[in-house]
Amino acid sequence: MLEFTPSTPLTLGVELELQIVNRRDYNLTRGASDLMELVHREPAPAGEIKPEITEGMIEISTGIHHDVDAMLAELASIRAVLLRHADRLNLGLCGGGAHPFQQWPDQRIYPQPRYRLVSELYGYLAQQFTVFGQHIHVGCPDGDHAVQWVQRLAPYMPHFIALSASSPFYQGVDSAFQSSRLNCVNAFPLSGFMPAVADWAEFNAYFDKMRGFGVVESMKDFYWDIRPKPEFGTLEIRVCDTPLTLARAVQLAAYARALAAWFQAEPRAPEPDQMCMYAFNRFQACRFGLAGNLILADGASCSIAEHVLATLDTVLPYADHPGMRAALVALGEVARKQDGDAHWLRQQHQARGSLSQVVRLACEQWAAQ
Amino acid sequence: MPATLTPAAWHTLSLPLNPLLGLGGVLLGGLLGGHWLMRILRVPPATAYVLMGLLLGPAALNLLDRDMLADVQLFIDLAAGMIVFQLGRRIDVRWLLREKRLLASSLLEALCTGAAVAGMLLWLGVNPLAAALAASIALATSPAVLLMAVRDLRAEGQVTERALHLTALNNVLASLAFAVCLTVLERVPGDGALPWLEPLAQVLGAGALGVAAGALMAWLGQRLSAGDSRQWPLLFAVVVLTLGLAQLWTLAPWVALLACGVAARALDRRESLAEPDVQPLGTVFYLLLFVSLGVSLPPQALGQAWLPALALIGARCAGRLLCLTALARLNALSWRKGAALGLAMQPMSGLALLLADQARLVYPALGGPLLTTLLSAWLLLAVLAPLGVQLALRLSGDARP
Repeated sequence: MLEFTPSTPLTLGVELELQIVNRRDYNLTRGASDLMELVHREPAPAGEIKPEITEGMIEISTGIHHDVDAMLAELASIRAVLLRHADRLNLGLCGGGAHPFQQWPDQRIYPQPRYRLVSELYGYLAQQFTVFGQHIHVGCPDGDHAVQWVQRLAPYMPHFIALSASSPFYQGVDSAFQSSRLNCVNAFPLSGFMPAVADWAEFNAYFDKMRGFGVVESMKDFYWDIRPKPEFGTLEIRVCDTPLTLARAVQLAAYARALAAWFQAEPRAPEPDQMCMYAFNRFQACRFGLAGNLILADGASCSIAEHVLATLDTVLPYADHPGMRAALVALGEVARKQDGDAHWLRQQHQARGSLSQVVRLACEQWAAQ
Repeated sequence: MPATLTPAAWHTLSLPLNPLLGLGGVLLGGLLGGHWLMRILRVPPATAYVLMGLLLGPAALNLLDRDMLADVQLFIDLAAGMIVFQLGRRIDVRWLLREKRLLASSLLEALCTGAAVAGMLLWLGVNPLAAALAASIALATSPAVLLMAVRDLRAEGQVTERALHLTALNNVLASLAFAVCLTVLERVPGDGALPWLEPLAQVLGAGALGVAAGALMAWLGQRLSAGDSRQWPLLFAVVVLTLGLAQLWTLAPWVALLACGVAARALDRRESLAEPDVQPLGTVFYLLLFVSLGVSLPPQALGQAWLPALALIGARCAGRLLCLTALARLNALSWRKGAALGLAMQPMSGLALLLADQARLVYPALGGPLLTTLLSAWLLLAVLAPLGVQLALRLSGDARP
């Protein structure tokens, strides 16, 4: 039986998986162990810095926040610590959902028992999972709310995918996708969307059954797009690519919070047929980004950008801080201009003709205040 | 034709040797024999190729001799040149300027290593000037052994990066220290003319030549598009040109090519130049260099000077290992990785052989027992140090599991 730890509703937290690159050709490099060595030498900064599944990845996460300005400030302070250490080690750090030209066989599993287990279980998928995502946590008052909000968030996942998309290049080629990262996640057997359970009791029954079958041991074994996180008392959105800037990461968190605030203010059951078109809409967002075509629950269709703008209009009243509102307005601009991070990365590649240069510029973006 | 093909009989065959035949012999003999030794003895390639050179050379089978090596000297110089240039390309000047602690570590480790070697030689009764000269010769770490191990083990990490940077720096420091020692020695006759500054001018001039060549390489490289197949020939052409000019003007070729690599990277703002190591020819360079070193080493020297050679190696190893372990925290490393860094820096550079030869001409006191000791130490390290490098890169976690 999973206990859902209650948390203050609508509090926020984010996790960002970052790329560690060398400064020679800006390829992913084995730097997590050396970075962690320096991180452990100092008193822990606010938030957390920890390794991820392969050595070219590092994850930062914030504490619990009520507004996005404080979250941005905390992320900036963690970034400053990490950049200082990386500079000593001559390493570069950047966002982006996938490294543009790393080769997955070159990636090394971080020496930690859980990652070794994942590697043994999933074989090459573990190395291919060297992709970089942003996870957004939204506080939920209880498990029932978490389950219901997860279901209601489903139609908006294409928004998060398109707005954060920053992995157009993969293994040295232009994938034609705006977010190629999610294609790596799709390979895992427990990826996709949470089953249609109505409340926390039903979720627990499902979880117990899966554990009884020996399919899972903990919630960590589910690679769903959104999942309840009972130990934190949150729901966790996992579809976003790590954006190239902290500002965009915080804007996405603000959007998730505004949606949850809307759900809280206007509770209703999810659309009955919403999961029929989930996979199609998700693909459209990955492949075409904001220009993708969204099939709505009533059978109508529109571009993802149009739907984002309409939804932003709906949730803007639920943004209760100036910083929150500014974040939503900024996302609206991205939707209007359709010039997200994937677009920027392609532009740099066209201008410079080299993927190494694209990564170097992404490092500059990440380090910029 | 002799009935059995003994080494002596081989030489009576009077095979019409030419440089290409010699080169092919060195490469094929080294490759096949080296592969066999790697399997039998489970040693790293650098050790296997040196052992194969010893086995094929005058000390054992005498299938390859120094005359044959002289014929292929041009190729050996090119191989050594490309490897040193490649080390230069791994050096990030901006990092060195930012990370002053790495620069300080370099000076301290050179000082400790030099002091330990000189101290040991003084204790063995060598006169101070000769001890200083020999210590400067012993300072340099072998770029070839380190780069080959990094490449073979696909090592990545701080121990690797710092070892490469410290190696480049200690090769420069060794060249400078040696030039200063020679300058002092040559001043003794007191002819008062400028030539006593010549050793120093050779090093500094080589640096200037290298920087100019690197700038030319970067400038030309930026005119080629990314992935242009002419990048590799461009690198090769400029390296050969630099080597030729260094020989023509009697400048230190190692310093020139190291500076060329460093400058080419630092000035190549668009980072458009290819990585030379990805070229398959890289393996040929290492193979040729190690086998030819094995052939040219005199193992008989070991019989005369194994004890002082071991003492010299012990002092050099302890000085470097203790210093770099003590500086581990300064270098952002754990103690274990600090020790691994010290171990990875043990191979003695081929520069030592060149400098020893040069020193013997100007300063005969370096000949005889001291030179034999140096050569013996070099020989032992050529065989043993690659094992240490391999161990260091594995201990540090830099080597691919």
